[in-house]
Amino acid sequence: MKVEILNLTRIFQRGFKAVDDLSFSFSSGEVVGFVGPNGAGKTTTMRILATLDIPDSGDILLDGKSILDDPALAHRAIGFMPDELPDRTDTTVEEYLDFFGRAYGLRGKALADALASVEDFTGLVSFRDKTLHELSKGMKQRVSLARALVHDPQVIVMDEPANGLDPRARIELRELVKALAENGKAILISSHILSELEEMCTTSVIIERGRRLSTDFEDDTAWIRLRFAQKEGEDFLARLLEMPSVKEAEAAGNGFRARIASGDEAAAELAKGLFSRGLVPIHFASEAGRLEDVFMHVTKGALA
Amino acid sequence: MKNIFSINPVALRELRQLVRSKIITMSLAIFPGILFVFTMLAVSTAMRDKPPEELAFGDGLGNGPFTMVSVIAFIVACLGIPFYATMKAIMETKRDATGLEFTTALTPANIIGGRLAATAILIGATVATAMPFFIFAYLLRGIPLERVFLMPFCLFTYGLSTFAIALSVACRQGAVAFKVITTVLLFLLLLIFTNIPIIAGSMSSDSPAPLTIAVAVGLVLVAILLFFRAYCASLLSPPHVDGERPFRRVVFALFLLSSTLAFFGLDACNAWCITWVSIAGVLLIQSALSPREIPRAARGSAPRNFFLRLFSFPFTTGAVPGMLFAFLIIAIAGGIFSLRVTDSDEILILCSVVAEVTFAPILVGAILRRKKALPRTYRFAGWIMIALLCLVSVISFMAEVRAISSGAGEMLPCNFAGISEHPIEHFLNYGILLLFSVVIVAVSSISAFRKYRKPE
Repeated sequence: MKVEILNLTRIFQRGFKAVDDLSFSFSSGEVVGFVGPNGAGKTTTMRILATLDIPDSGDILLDGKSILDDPALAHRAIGFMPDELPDRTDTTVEEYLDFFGRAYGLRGKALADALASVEDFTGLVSFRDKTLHELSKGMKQRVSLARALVHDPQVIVMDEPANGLDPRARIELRELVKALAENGKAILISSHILSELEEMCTTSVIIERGRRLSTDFEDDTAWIRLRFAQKEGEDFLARLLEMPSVKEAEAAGNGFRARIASGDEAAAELAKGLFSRGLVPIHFASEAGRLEDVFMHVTKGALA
Repeated sequence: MKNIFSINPVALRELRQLVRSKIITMSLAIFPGILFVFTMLAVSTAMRDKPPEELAFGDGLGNGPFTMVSVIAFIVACLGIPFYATMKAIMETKRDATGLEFTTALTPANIIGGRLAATAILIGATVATAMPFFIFAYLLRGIPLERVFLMPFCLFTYGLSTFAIALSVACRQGAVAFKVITTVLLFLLLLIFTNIPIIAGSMSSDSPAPLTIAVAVGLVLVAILLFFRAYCASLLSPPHVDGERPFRRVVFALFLLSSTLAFFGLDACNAWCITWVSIAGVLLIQSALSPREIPRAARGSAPRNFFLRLFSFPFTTGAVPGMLFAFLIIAIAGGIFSLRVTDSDEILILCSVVAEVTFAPILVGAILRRKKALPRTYRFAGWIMIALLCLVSVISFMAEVRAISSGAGEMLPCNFAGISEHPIEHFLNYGILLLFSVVIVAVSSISAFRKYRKPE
């Protein structure tokens, strides 16, 4: 399924443009990171996708059909996972999912199969009789994901899913997202934790003040973290900078960072160069955070 | 066929939550006990007050216990449960700000219907619990049999209608505290104005229950229920759907059905007309202040045939169709009223009411729209309108009673003051106001109707 967001504009009171002529598209199997500072218009865009809001102009097409003309199409095809978590003392996980399954029109065996499937996928089988209030944040996030998946949507929209989760829950969520993408779902995911997004996403859309700033990782360089057994300090930094493949280098913590051209070949060349100069790294790893760099670079001017 | 009998998911969810609710479980458990204690108290009081020979051959002891059970059941079924259910709805709306239900296949009508169904079951359970005590009171003699069946019916319908009205507060946007205060005030107003005493009075032991009154009250309550059910659903409708169409259809159906009242007598005609002009006035205020545009989904479903489109236009969501719809009701009601009532003074009074009811909202709506102050300032708009109405009425009323110079009074109409010695002047004043309203609505309607067609 192809999702096309075309010239979307949403204006709130006093002429505040939450979303301003935003366009991008994504398809099945893709995970799109939707990045922007607070108030950039991410949630508004996602709410419009989920038919919870209506744009002032522009359109959203699912396989060429407008969801503004046919909201039921969006209800069937899109699973929305908002940033708020379900929390009730009088509803169990099973009842919560059962309600939404019925709300999507599932009944009888189809409903039972759908519930069993999402509970199994999200690891909620042993928690189905617990009330929502009894669950940890990570488990509530799983319930929220299960709810978004209960009608087997082709598109999943996740608003800040990793917000407030501990590292383990984040890793588990990342694995779930990857598994969903492998199952052919088109996923739009927003997060403030850019390193998380970078590991999950096939592409990214950066917005600020409702406008799209950049798509994909436009920077063609990568940072490599290095640590050496030798204790040569300043001298070592100078030697690093002498290397032709190194564009930039700096001390970082108890090691160094070197910026090289992106790609495996450039990393291999750097490693080869280090060994040829008698420098043996005890730590050599590409540094997560390219998305952070791009984000900081492209949003800097607008924030100032 | 299968879907007809499948339970509404919202009703199922609500029932599951009610079963888990400690307040509800405890209340249902102790309710029969309370009824038992108070019934016995009423019986013992009645026995103490009546001589033995009357106990054996007189009117019986049923009236006291019956009234006692009715009052307790009324407090629980018509006040307690609707209040609890409304508070629950308000808190849930606050908790689930996202409105995830609207991302599903559920329609606003399903959501409201589900809540009403769950509350109906709860009220039904309460009334059913009281039923053995009503029968017990009947067995003590002194109660006509129809009272035993009509009272539970009235309690059930009244409780559900009350909940539907209160739910319309819960569905509106606003602070929780404001909603709670409004709900409490609504309950008090309902208690005063909805004439539960009529139900009780019509079935008192002195005047055996006239079935027609009970049926009429029941029908009015059912009409209130249907009206507010549709109203709540329209309030809940997401902005992209044609949410007001079902509501206006229900209103128009109720309007047409109730128009038969106009042919019963002049008083009934008068009451019917004033009721519908008032309702149309409220709809007019709401429409004048609602977003101007017709939703794209509504335009998408516009009929291709010109006449069908023309017919369906006033039922479409949007400010201008809404104002046209209200005018349509006012025009039909006024037309029937004019045909039935021959007294020109009465017609003139109606004209003054209509002129005031239509003028203020349209003026305020137009000003606010021009200032681009909608919809953020809609709360103030209500106050501005009330102030305008009061000003218009009070100045002219004071002029009528010669409290101030008559110049200002004659410029403005006053429906409180009655008809002055110069009805023609009043007619001109009302006529100008009405003309102003009609011109604004007509011009806007023509412009909006041109855009009301399927997008290319």
